[in-house]
Amino acid sequence: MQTFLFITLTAFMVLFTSCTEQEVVNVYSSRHYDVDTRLLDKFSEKTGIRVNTVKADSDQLITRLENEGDRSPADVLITADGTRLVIAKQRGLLQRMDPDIAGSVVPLQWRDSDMYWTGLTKRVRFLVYHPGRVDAVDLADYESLTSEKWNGRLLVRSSNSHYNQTLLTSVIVALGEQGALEWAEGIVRNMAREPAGNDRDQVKFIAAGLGDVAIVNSYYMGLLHNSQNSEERNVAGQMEVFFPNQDGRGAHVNISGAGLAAYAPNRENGQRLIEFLLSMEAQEQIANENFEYPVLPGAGLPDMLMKWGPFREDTVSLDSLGQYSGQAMMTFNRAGWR
Amino acid sequence: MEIKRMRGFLRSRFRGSKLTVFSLLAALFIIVPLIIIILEFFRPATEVWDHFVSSLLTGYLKNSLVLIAGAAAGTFIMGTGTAWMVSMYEFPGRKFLSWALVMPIAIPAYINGYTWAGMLDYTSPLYTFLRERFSFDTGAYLFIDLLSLEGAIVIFSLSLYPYVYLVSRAFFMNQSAVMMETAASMGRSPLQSFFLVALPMARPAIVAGITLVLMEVLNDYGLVRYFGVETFTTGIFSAWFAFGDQGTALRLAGWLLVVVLLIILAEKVQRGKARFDTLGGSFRPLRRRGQKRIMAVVTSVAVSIPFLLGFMLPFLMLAWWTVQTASVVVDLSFIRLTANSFLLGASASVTGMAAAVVILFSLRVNRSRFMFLLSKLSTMGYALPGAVVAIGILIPLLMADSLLRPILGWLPMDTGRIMISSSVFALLYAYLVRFLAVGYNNLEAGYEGISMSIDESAASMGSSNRRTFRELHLPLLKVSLLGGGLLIFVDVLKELPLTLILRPFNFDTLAIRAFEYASDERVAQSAPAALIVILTGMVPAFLMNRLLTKKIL
Repeated sequence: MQTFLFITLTAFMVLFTSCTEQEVVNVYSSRHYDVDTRLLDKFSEKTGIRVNTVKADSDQLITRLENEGDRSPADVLITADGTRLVIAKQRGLLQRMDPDIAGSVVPLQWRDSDMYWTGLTKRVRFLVYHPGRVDAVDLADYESLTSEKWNGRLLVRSSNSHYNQTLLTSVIVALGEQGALEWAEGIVRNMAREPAGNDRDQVKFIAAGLGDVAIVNSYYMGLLHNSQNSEERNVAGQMEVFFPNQDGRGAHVNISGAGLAAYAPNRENGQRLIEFLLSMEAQEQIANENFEYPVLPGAGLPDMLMKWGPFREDTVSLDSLGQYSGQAMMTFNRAGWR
Repeated sequence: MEIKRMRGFLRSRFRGSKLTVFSLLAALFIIVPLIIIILEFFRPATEVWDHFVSSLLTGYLKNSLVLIAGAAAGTFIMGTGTAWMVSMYEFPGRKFLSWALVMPIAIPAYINGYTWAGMLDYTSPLYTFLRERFSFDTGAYLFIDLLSLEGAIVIFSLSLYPYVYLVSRAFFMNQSAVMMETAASMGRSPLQSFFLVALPMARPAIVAGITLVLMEVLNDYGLVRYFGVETFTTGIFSAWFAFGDQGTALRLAGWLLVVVLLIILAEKVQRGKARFDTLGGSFRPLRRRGQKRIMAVVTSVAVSIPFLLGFMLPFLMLAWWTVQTASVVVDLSFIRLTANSFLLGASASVTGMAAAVVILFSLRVNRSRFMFLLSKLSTMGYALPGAVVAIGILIPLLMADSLLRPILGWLPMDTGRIMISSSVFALLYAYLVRFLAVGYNNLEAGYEGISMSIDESAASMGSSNRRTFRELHLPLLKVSLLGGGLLIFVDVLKELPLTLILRPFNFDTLAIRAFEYASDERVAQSAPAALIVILTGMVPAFLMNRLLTKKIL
């Protein structure tokens, strides 16, 4: 028994400790897209730096960083939601990066003013509708979705989604706390079904005739249009998209971004990775393959995003949104938004 | 004087010293998470907890109760019904079905759930086919909306009914034929004798089976998360991670524990003094009834349904997806994933069985009430949902880490960043807490076959404890050791919530990868990992069947 135990433990040590002295960068990422794997591989190829990735929900990654404190192996935190980066900064989990990495290329709107984090891509939370059942002139802004006209026709995913949480913080900033609660209650009243599934599912629900309008992140429409599954392409082809609040504060834009971990053991490599992700080449690849909007001005857009055209963005800073994140969760729960 | 008496008392308590200390330590380690959770009740609640109480807790309670009520009903009907038909009637395919009905046990509920969701998706091959070929309006879903509370009940029932099937079949087959024949001679129809004789007698066994089902339901995170059903486990994740409030997460874990304890208590009360063994003497196997041709065919169709829906269809779907995606998904990192899972399972089963041996053997050497209580407590972990174990372990380990910190700083090596709480050790510790009971029960059954008189005569001939164990017990316990180890191995392979929380840096398992792909709506890509988990899980399912039939022959 003892020898058996010994052998197993030794096998563990050999398998799970990296004995090589190779340059590495350790990434905690909540992005789960295929394009990321390809980009990180490209980075390794170019620099010879090996990338270790831990993928998990960003809240779990943040809790993990907190628990690990200054002993964390993480160098870079990548999230698919801007608010999480603001929270990570607030909790002292990030450190300032060299300003010339992002400061000179990323517009102030999409990065932390102290350079603790930077956006990598933008995604718009817009409306998807079935043109046969909805007249575009009836669509205006997020607020008007609570009107009686949309009763039983609205589709949106659960309040667990960070995209919805950050959208709600922007509504809190625009309408105040009470106004946001009423808005959330109005949306719940108009839901075609209890929230389930992800953004893509909401679009499929429209195709299935369950509802007529859905709140969806822009890049999911791009992914549907380019799906391997011909039926998914067929579903996407039946839909139109609408950018809300164009006559007011603009459509809600969230970022996916990166920050340098406060106690990064491979700080330099972490910076190089972020730098690479902000390069024109990487930015265009993400736009082309994942249909997110690049944060780098002047980066080329794929045809689909060109076709959707330019639009007015809500310019409220993510910093001010971040402070309402706890409130957003509670508002959702009070409104009964599952 | 006082001290001397105290020492004498202690010595009498802890005979077989070294061994007892070991098992004491093992048991204590395992009870730690329980203590952590109970302690939280004595601390002031946070604002977040108030929020949970005012707007979420009743929902969790309601959903959890509806889930377990539904799963209890579903598994009872499917498990007991099929067991009765298989034991009492002759019909085509009976022999095959009698073991095939166990197979769903090899598919974890969450994998079954997202496979079915993928099969019944609006853009799935089936729905597309129905629309295109028959211009049939499928809507978003046929029959039921799978991604819902009702859907979760259906999937839980389909994946967990084997627990009830196994105990009911064992009971019905071991029933004395005399009993049923007496019922028949008194003019009872088979249906009447089922409800009036067999069911009441089998009740304790069936309820025990259903209790296992309920534990699995309350433990689940993957399925309810995927189906959008908010329960205690999803609440623990949400409090801990989304709200960043450990205290609230612990408190929720405490309440979940209360629910679990109530269920265990209810099971104990209903069982009373009933025992599961057969009536002595007059045992003879039942003669199964023949049926009219049409009835026999109807029976085999009906009895096949749980097997087809719970195992065959999802299995074939996953196999088909594996064929489609294996070339993309299966690469070097996938092999590493598999190695991680298998090594983890193997290490957990070795540590689990070692702990079980230590505790059970010292219980044999030192038959005090105290030892007995301790051993029972240390097997409580199986009733603790994975998320509860994870939080109960992470907190003390984080404390240990901050205590160890100055010591590690002193060491000459580059150990500054080492943490117990995010190491494989933490994971193995958690598995030990959660799965010790699996190995323990297996080994206990093995020990029941070794008479105490063997130990006594060995001792009278001057054999040491160690020698008695190695030369007398070990050869006799080989089968139960292997069996228990195998069960732990498979449980670890399937485990999700605990592994999600405690996995070390850069360390993924098959279950985690499958779940990640699935939650990202890439169910097809999740198939290769899921399939390996299922194929491994089939091994103990086969063995369980053999065990059951051997007993009967």
